[in-house]
Formats: sequence, structure tokens, C-alpha cells
Amino acid sequence: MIGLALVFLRAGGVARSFLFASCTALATGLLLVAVAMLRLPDRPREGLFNLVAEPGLRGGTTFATVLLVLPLLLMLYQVVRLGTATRERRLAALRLAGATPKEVRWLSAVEVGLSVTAGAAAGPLVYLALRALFGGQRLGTSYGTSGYGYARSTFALVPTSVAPSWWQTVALVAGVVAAGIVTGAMASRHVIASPLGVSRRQIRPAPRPWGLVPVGLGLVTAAAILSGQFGRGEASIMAAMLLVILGAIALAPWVAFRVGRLTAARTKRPARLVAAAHLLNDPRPAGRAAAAVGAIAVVSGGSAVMEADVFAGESARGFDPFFVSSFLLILTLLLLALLVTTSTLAIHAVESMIDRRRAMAGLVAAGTPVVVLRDSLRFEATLTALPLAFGGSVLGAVAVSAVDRSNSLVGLLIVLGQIVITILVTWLAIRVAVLAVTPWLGRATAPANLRTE
Amino acid sequence: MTEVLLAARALEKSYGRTQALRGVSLEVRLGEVLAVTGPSGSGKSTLLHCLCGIVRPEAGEVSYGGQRLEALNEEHRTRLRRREFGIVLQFGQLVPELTIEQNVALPLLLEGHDRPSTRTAARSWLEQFGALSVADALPGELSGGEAQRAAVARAMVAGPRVVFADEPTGSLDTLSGEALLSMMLTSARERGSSVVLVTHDNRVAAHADREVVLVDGSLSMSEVGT
Repeated sequence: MIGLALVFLRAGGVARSFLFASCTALATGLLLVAVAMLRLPDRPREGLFNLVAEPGLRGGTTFATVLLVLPLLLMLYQVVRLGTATRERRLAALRLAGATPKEVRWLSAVEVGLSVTAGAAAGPLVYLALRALFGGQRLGTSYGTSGYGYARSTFALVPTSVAPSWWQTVALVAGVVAAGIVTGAMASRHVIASPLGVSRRQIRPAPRPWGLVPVGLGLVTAAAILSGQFGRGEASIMAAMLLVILGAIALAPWVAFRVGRLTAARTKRPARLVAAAHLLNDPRPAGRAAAAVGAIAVVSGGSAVMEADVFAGESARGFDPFFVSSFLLILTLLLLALLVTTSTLAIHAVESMIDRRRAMAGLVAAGTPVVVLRDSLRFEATLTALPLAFGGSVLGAVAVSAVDRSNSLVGLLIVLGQIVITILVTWLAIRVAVLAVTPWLGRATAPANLRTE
Repeated sequence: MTEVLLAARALEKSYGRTQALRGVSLEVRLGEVLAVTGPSGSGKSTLLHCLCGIVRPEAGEVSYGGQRLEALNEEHRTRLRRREFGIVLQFGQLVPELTIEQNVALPLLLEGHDRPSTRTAARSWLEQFGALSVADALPGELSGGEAQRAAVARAMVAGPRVVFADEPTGSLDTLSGEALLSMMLTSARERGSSVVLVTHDNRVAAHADREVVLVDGSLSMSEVGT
């Protein structure tokens, strides 16, 4: 059985295994950095960038580091689903050859598990690389009067005077492997392979807006912080933000469905109709691919309000490099997260093409220009991601406004400006993703795909 | 009288509002080739799927070797199919990522046999069906006829007592189909295996020992062949 699993692993393509392993290695590395941050004493024996050096800000920075893992997990989920149609065909053929459902599930788990384990095992190396690249500085090269040891470099982010203990590393690697395998199992939990093909366990109902529940809870928590019922402690603010972020992720398939239905009923353009109809019939994959956009937009909206609060007050008396460098770092991380999201959208586009290649090849054979199909891929991503970028930014801004806000016009302009930038960057990310997968479109629409077997 | 190997009693199965089987009863005897014929949509494939335990009927029963198939869980029915039955569908349904040799060896590998013996068995069956030259190829590289020969070899490799074939020559031209059918039936007869052959083609049905005709989910007649 292990031999068979290895054959399938090889057959799934080196790129797929590499993506699995890369996602888990990066996630493990980032989590190890977060653990190292938590192990820092109040006054570290090294120079670190202020967001890490100051105990009051460290919790938020650790939280943000852990949040960076979310887009990676969503990407992992997307990679697991890559080539679903081919995998389902394989599972059906295996069942026809006599494999029991348990054996098929085991083979699938091993297929994902081996790559994920390799990636998680490489995680400590990623952590060491991050530590070498972005490690703290010796105290002699740092400055500051507070005794916290601020580093001159914005990139002195990873503690070097402390490190995760061996058992923390082992537990974290094991946790990431387990999360990876669970993600793999979740990706195909609604599908059972029958020897005759693939049967859906159930006809899946349209997505419901359950994500509004955590969003509502998050906003209520933020309002409670404002009214003084909760302290303004980091934990309650982080809990509010986390609830809004999880809500935005959970709402993504529902948004995809609603926008798909609205567009399908109104549009006359073929590309938009193809995109909207696909969203209407199967909104979950597109929703999942764009979910990271919603999560990042929440953080972007929230950080915009904090920037507004700081800079509206600072503008009159000059900017403090402390805040400028901190917010520049946050913006850099947001851009990095959007880069991961672009990859997720590209992977979804490839998945969509692979799964529908016969239908797409049929459309082209019947005279549909390839450019219409390319535009339909772009519309599909746009129809889901842009509403999430806008909605997420507004939600993040509203949640943080309850705790920390500026009432000046400059502040409002900063918030609106960042929301517009988030939408524009998302739009750009979609264009890049579709551009990146255009070569696959030629393969997906090739006449060879019209063959039955 | 020849021993009855597989018996179906009053099978019923529907898909939504369409009733595919309406109280079908039949028997498959040891070593016989039984053709199930009928027009498109008459329930032939559904009957075959119920007989080999891929699909559970809504009413009625299928018994094989004293066991009622519908009483077994999916795990047990799959193991039974792996050990006792061979199944060939219209399109080979080979695992696209495995070579032809690996595909043919798969039922034995799943059964826990060692690699060298499964390899020998697979190559021997491929040779018997004239497909040894494509043993190292992937299914996507083969013609329809070659893929179907591999599928038949896979169905035969575990020494099944019953071979179920659903339009096995449906995707092939007349000559290739005739050759494949002849090889499959010769092998089955040599081993004493029974064959249930679903087809809408009278020329294919002519190879059977007995033929039953299905119309609108019911058996319309049963005739004894040559």
C-alpha cells in the first residue's frame, strides 16, 4: 500500500508535492518564530525591532505572525483540491479494481501526509533561515533609552537570544502534520468514490451566511471594549479581530454564491455568464480561494484605523519613525499575504480548468474564443474577491474603530485610502493570477481533452 | 442440473422517478455465459451493478455462495468483489497514474500478494490478451482497444468465479470487439468462470449460452442459446 501511495504521490506531480511541502514548511517556520517571540523575557538580551522588543506590542506581533499562517493553510486546502476530477477518477478506478473505501481513504491520507510531513520536518530549517535573515542584533548595535533594546533595523524581527525548546518544536511539527492531514481529509469529506465513478454524499445545499455569527460576535466584543465592559487588553482586542477574520473566511462561499446568482440573472456577456453560472453551481471552491482576501482585508481595514489614529495626531508635529517603520512593516506583511493569495487564486483557476477541461475543450471546439474562457476565469475571481476585499476592509475598520479611532478628516481619508488600495491590490492580484495560468488554458482546451478515456 | 452460483430475486431499483428494475429475478449457473440484452435505458447496467454488489437494490435480494450481498457492508462487498468477481465496464476505467502492468496487478497487490508474483501474474495475463507490449505504458497512451484488453486482464487476474462485463466491446470497432470478446470468453470457459454479459448488440449476445431480455426494467423473456 505504501508503494501504491508513493506511485500516486509521484503521479500527482512534483509541483503539487512541492506546494504541499512548501506551505507546511513556511507555516511551521512562522509558528516557531511566534513561539520564540513568546519566550522572550521583558527585557531581551538583544536588539529587536520595536514591535517585538516592547512587551506591550509583542503579543500583537506574535498574533499577526500566527495570522500569516492562515493564508498558507487556505492555500494548502486549495492545493489539496487541485486536480480533484482526476483524483476522483483514480479513486473510482481503484474501487473498481477492488480497493475498499477504507483503503482508498488511507491511500489519500498517505498521499497528502507524506508531503506534509516532509514540509513540516523542514519547518525548523525555515525557522533557522528566518532567524539568520531577520535575527535580532547584538545589544551594542542597538539603541534606545527604555532598556528594551530597540534595533536600528526594521527587519530585526526574530529573537536569537531565545529559541523554541526541543519539545515545543516536536509538538509544533506534529501539530502542523496533523493539521495538514486534517485539511487533506476535509477537502474530500463530501465525496465518496463508488466503483462507477464519484457520487456525492449529498446534494450540497447553497452556502448559508453562518459567518455572520462570528463577525457579529467580534463586533459585539469590540463594542463591549469601547463601552468599557472589557478591558482594552490585547487579548480581548485580538479575540474580536480573530472572530471577524474567521467570519470573513466563513462568509466567502456565501458571498460567491450570492454574487454569482445576482450576476447570472443580469449579465448578457458570455464570459460573465459562464463565470456566474459556475459560481452559482459550485460556489465553495471559488469562495475558499478568495477567503484569504477577506481575512487580509479585515487586517488591512483594522490597521488603517490604527494608522489614521496615529498619523492624524502626528501630522501636525512631524512623524515618529517608530510608527512609520511599524506601519511600513505591517503594509509589507499585508502585501506578502496578498502574494500568497494571488497564488491561491491561481491554483484555484488551474483547478477549475483541470476539472472542466472536457467542457472547456468542447466549448472551444464549438467555436467559443479562448479569450472568453480566460475572461470567465478572471470574472469568477473578481466577482468573489472584490466584494470580500471591500467588505473585509470595512468590517476590520469598524471593529478597530470601536477601540481606537481618529475623528479627523485626515484620519478618515487615510482609512478610505487604504480600503481603496486594498481593493486595487486585490484587483491587480487577480490579473496577475489569471495571467500566470493562461498557459494552462491552452492545454485545458486542447482537442485531446475531448477524448472519453 | 447445473449448480446455481448467483441468484437474484424480485430486484427493484429506481433513480428518482425512473424505475430501473421492477421485480427482476434470474439465476447465473456455474460456468455459463449469460447475456443480458435490451434496448437503451431498459435497466441492463443497473441489473449488473446489483448482481455484483456495486449497487444495493431497494427491494429483493442477491445471493452468492449462501451470502446475501445486500446484507453485507460496503467493506465486505468490496472484498468479495475483489476475490470472487471480475468486472469490466465499457470504458476500461484504469487508474490513469499506474502503468498497464500495475493496473492489472492491482487486485493482487490490494490482496497483499508480493510484488514479484503480482508482476508475473499481470504479465502472463497481458500476454494472453496480446497486450504485453504495452505493459509499461500508461492508460492515456493506449488506444481504446488496448486499454480494454488491459481492463479484461485486470478482471481475470485474481481468478474470478464470475466475470461481469457491461458493454465490454461498446467502445471498440467490430473486429477489435470480436477479438476481445472471444479472448475473454475463452479464458473464462477454460477456468470454469461464469460470465454475465450486458450488451445491446445481438452479435455479442450470440456468444452467450443463454440470453435474457430486459424491457423497461422487467424481464420480457428468457431463451436458451446454443
